[in-house]
Amino acid sequence: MPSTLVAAGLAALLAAALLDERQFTGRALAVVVAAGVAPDLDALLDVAIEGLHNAALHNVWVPLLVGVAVRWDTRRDDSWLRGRYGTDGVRLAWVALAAYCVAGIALDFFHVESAAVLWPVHGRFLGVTGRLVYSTADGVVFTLVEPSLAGGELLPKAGSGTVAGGEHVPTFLNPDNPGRDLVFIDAGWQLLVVLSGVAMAGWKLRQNDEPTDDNPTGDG
Amino acid sequence: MPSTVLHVAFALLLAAGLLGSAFDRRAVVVVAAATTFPDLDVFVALVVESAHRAAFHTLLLPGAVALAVWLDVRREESWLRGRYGDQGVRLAWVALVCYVVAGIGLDAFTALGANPLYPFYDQFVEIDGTVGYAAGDGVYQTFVNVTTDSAADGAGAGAGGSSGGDAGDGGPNIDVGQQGSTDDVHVASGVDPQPGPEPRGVERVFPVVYRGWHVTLILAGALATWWRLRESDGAGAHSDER
Repeated sequence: MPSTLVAAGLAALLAAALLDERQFTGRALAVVVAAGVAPDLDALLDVAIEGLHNAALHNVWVPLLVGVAVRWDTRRDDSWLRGRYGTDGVRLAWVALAAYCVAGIALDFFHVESAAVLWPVHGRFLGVTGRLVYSTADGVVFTLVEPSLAGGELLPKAGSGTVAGGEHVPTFLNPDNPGRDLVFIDAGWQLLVVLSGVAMAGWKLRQNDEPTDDNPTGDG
Repeated sequence: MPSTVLHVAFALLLAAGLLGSAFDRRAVVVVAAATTFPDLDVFVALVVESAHRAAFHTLLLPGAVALAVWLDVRREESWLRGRYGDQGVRLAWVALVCYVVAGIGLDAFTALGANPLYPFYDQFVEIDGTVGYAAGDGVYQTFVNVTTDSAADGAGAGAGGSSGGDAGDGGPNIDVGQQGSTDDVHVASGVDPQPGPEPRGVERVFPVVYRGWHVTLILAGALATWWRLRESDGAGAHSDER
């Protein structure tokens, strides 16, 4: 799976893209990046209960529940979130939720070492990999999911392991990992995402510090 | 093999961050065009052998455009600012960043790489590797491999640095992922799948998604574009009402 560092880089890019200039403060960035890497904390649970890594927090139910809660709260007249943190806080909550889903879950889900996105309802680790190409020999080739009327596997390339069945996505935190390798960056594109995220966050934070017409003192 | 869809999606994610509330439909068109442009060298490859990922994937081209923009906007009578305003100047810089990072960078950081100094120094470079920490070895990285010549005789050549240029002069051999020149490397595309003339009925492949992670980046780019456009369109509607 792409490392937590890559998730943090992608979360920073999302924060820059989805927050307004005025809202992009160091604190807001910290919240969004924390949300983007939060799913990887289930590696800690994995030490206690084998198999929970990429399952306990890498499922659709956590962000779905949080999303419903935020929506329910902000539709009320005396919204707790808006009262406590203002409209910027509401925006920040949605951006953090997006980072949780895209940087936290999707990055692992669309990868070979996959995520149990339906756990605990369905404990199988699902991973969507494959390609969508047009070939002059084979026509449109689509192998990300392979639905078939005859039955058969929807995701034949994903492993068939389940959480209950002892399937286990390795993590350096778990002592079963021989040598306890901790990989920060596993491919060129991951380095590009991390570098872009760092450069973007640094540039945006500097922009915010510079005095402007609306903000003559230059305070965030 | 990152597809044009992936290049554009990553560029729009970057542009949404760089432009913020100035991200509008015009920005989408300009950024998408600037990011798609480098891959048009697939057509150059029909004329100049193996020019894909080289002819327009050279940093010299956006460098020259950047110089031209810089020289223009520092004049009092800037054509760009006069014609498109300060927002146009800003958009030009953002489009250039997207050209370099999403158009060239995404290719340079994946298999076979890009040819950043073509045609003056004809060398494909693929920036790829691992950074990690192993209990015994401490922090390690494989993006840049420096070997002394004696060790490089066997290992360096095997690692793809055989045509890296510096082998054999007694100095250290630095491998940043050199793949060889356009004589050795041909990056296949649907337009030009093989070096030289193609046989009849050759398979041509036009990718959209080639890896799982491509989906994640496309999702992120689409989300950023949708969200930003919803805001800028909303702001436009409000100003019309006033």
